[in-house]
Amino acid sequence: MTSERHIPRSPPGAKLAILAVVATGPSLSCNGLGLAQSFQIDRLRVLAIAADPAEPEPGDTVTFTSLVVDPVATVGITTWLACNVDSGYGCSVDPTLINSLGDAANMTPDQLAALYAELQAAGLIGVQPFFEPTWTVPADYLDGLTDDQKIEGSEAIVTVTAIQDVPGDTGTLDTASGDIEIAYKRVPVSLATTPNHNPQVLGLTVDGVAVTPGAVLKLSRGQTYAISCDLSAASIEDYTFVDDAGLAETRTEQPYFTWYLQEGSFDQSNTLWPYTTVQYTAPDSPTMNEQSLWCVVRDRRGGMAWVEQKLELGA
Amino acid sequence: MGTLALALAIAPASARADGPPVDPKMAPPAAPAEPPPLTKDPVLVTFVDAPYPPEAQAAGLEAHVMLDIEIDATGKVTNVTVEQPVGHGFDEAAIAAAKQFVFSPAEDATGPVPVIIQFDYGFVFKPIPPSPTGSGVATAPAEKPINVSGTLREMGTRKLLAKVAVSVLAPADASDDQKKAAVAAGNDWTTETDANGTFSLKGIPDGTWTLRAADPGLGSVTQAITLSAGIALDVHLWMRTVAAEDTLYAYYDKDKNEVTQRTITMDEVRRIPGTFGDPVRVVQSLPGAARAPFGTGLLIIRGSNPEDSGVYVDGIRIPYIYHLGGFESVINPDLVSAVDYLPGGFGVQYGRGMGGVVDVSTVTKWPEENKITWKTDALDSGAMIEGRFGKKKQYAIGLAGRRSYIDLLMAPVLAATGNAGYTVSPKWYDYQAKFELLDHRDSFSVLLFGFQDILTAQSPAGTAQGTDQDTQGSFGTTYSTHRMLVRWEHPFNDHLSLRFIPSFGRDYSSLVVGSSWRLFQTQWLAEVRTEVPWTLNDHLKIVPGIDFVGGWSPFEVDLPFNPSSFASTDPLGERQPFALKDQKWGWGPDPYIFANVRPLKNADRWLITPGIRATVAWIPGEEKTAALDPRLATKFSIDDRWRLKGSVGLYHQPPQPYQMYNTTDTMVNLVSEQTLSGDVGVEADVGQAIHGDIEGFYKDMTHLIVGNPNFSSLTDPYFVNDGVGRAYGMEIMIRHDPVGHFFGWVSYTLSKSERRDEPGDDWYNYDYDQTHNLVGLGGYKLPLQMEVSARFQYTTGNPTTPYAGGVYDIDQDSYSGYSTAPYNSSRLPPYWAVSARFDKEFTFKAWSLDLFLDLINVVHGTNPEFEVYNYDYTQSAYISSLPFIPSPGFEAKFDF
Repeated sequence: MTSERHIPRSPPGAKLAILAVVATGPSLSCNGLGLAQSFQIDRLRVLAIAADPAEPEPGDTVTFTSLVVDPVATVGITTWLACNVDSGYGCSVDPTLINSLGDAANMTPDQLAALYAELQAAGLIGVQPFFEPTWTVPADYLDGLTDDQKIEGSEAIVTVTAIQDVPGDTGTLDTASGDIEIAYKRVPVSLATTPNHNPQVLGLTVDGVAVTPGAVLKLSRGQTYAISCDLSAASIEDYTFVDDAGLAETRTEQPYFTWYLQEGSFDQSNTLWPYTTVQYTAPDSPTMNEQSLWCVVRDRRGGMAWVEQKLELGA
Repeated sequence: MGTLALALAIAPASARADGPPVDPKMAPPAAPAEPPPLTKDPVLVTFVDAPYPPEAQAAGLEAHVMLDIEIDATGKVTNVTVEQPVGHGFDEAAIAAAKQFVFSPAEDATGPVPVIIQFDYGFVFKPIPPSPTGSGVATAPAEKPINVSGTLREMGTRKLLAKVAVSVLAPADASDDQKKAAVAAGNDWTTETDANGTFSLKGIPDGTWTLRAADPGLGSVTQAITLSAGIALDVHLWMRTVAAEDTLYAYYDKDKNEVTQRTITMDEVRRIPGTFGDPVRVVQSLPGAARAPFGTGLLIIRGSNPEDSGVYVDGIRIPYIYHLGGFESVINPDLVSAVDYLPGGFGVQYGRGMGGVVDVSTVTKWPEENKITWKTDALDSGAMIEGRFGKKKQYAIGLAGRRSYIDLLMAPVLAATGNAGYTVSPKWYDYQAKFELLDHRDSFSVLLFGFQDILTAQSPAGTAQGTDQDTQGSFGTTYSTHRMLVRWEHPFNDHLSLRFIPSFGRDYSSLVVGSSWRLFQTQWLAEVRTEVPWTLNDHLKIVPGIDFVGGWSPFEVDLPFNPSSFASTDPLGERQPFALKDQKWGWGPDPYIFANVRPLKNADRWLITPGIRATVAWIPGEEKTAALDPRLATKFSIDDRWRLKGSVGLYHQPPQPYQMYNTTDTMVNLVSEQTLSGDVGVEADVGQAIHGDIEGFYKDMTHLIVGNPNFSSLTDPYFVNDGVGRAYGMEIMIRHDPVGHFFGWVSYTLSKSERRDEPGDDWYNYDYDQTHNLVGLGGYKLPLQMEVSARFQYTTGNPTTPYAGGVYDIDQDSYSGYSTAPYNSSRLPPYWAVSARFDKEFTFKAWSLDLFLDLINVVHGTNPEFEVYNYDYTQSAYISSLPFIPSPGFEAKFDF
């Protein structure tokens, strides 16, 4: 990819705010005694989105997966929107359409199909858990670019809105009653000779011992552990970059890791390759004995991967 | 009858003048009631001994009569009044004697000026010795050998004290014979120190006596002496003077053209809590100056941006005024004599600024004895050596330097807080050297000064500094300035003179972040100010002048990405390193001319000052802009108490250097920012030492330079002149001069400052818009060389923008906040705090020591300064200003 991406310079937050759901966003809770930290998962969060393939060509069908966490409630609906960058950051959609999904359980298959069609026509490419997000890159997506520019490509923007399902709610999905998280991600589209791939997280290593994937990690309260996020060898890709003078240059990815937890602390919430280890200190008095921590890796080219580790905190 | 009038204050403790040169009662001053510093104190050259009042003599009374003596520009006494009558005939006697005094004229930088001084005329009782004939007339003493002699010096300065009475008195436990002998001796046992500070007394009988030196203007000292077997004593007396360190303070009427000029002497500056004794920071306690965040000295004057205000040192503008953190200015206070603060309405001598002016004057008064001053406080330590040399001591020189030691304290602090792997090293130094030619028809001085500030930071390996791969590693920034300034003033005759102030220097700044960000800039600068003041008559003075500034600046920029590429904002954008190495030169000759027109027969009553200035900025290939600034100011004295004042004018400010450059072959095409400013006000002398001042102002700002909202490539201009602004308000100041034991003032500013960045946009509150700003401060001198002072401030909270939440940029791993309210539409809570200071001075024979404790924010220091949000803009909290900080320090002065 070159540096010539056609992205508007105005703050994306300002345009995303036109989404009706934003207006019903979370209220401020200012206690003046300390602010919540990014690595602490204490509310609904979208932590990561991965596109597969990570750098599609026009005509490719892209599937998306996400890491959406909510420590206090079940994530109700995750809507997906994919928009060409020319439409700006994000797309607008009638919130009543989304609200009507709250009554999906009572709909007939035909009604659901009609609703899905209406949502897709509005720009939604997926509404989890009702239909999985996929997006087929239009075949003419790179039309208008020169051959060199097509190698470097352009970007699409995928916007994700996660809506909390509040227990005991009215039965319809009310976007004003629960927590909402809005996130967006760029999807490079190109004819690159060395297209990007998502990195692969093999798992975690705790104090030098690899954790079996899927296993619950038993840790002691108040203790500090060295935790590493292990990548496959293929995760660190070499790729070709063509500079403004037309000279090709081989570069190597420089991924970085972002760490999250529910309780306890890290010595730092980010680590940059080749440093993959953080010091995790388990809480002295956890409110829950079973918790999770997450490691999210970005390859700085749009590729993402993550791992969630279940913890059991004992004495 | 034998009377004795001992008192003589050689240098008055304080002085002021509120009258014109000829007749203060008939011709009240038209100038602002603010005192620029005197360069030469009035010196009493003819003292007249007052006859001892018979009533007081008969009753054995002593007294001190505090006089206000008005002295005209020739040194002649024009009026004498008693501040506090003491009766018994003392007042009349003191007035009659003082009217016959003759002084050398007081002077400021422009020549002799009228002043009023405060004079303590003391009467020391001496009994009339009994006459053998009963006539009351003393008989001539028999010739006896000198058996008591010695010297009298001032403690702390070692200065020999002349014309001080020295007497031998009977001690408190004296025998009857001793008492009789003392009475019989009368004036024979009293003498006066000569010009060399020596004295001698004859015929003192054997025994233990009290040797006393006393001067009502200076103080007194006693010492027991014992004489025996006819052996002569050599006694060295040391007197702790009460007024040795007082600074002369003056109000006077000179050709000051500024409508609003507030001058603070260094004597006041040192006593104001929370300023670290820094002269520039004191400006923030005056009307028109907004409160700067975190106690820094940022100059936000009458709603203008900090970069709109200029700071001058002896008439030459300097680019950086503060050391790191903004707590101390780069000029050592020991080399500063006064600070002129002009919040608006200033004349055409000052250009290239739309805000205010702070003009720092370096010392022009030099001590008779060589002196070393050493000062240490919480931030730094510094020393200054000053003195005179040459056969006639016709040359003066001062050398000063300071070095901070915060960097030395940081390492143990970081280690103690569990951050041993981190290094943060802020440090600075500054130096000043001044040479001056004294007692010459021409005025000539050379000032050399400079400073360097360095800040470096390093974190342990493996510790991420954010997620950007190009901002990892160390951080370092440096900026420095070095200047040489020559000031030469030559009078051709009584009407025409030349003022020539060339300066040359080098500025340097750098920023290095990791291995990819590097910015270096050097600027060689030459400035010349030339003025030819021409006084045609009492009613017209014309001053043409020119400010030339020219410079050459090489610079280098290395960035990890091209600033015009989307890689600068797109986290997925592939970065291509960007390097720029260039050099530019530019110049700007700003001619100006103004006149002092005094249309009335009584010339001092009404002053009109029209002037015009051209502002030119030319950087070949980049920028060329010029503008004219016509200005008019006037002051009118209604009577000897009330004065009206007003001004109107245009003020242009060329773009900042970084705004006058682009990477294309096209011109930048920015024009100078413009402000149309006007103000009107009233001044009043409420009492001998109390003055009031109220003023309203309005500023209309146009062509303000803002970021180009349509910038998308390097071919687009970075900046455009689309911004506008307005500021208006009212300022009130009530001030008590530092006369006697007390000084202080109350300052209040009511103001509004707004901006609009683009046509059609809404107006918004300026970032430092503070509706109310109230400052009260005062200092009081206590006995035993102690002093207390305190400062209170209340201001409206600064504007802030409320955020409603954030949207997560997954690739950037950060949230973008969004607001549902206009920019700066909310406000922080009000700010109020109290600071205090305590000083205790010790005076020893050869040196003096001032111990001080500055209690910064001793009451309610934790005020909100900024509102910050958490990572996703769902929570906010306030960053508080500086907490309570006790800052002890000392200043020692040695004479040699």
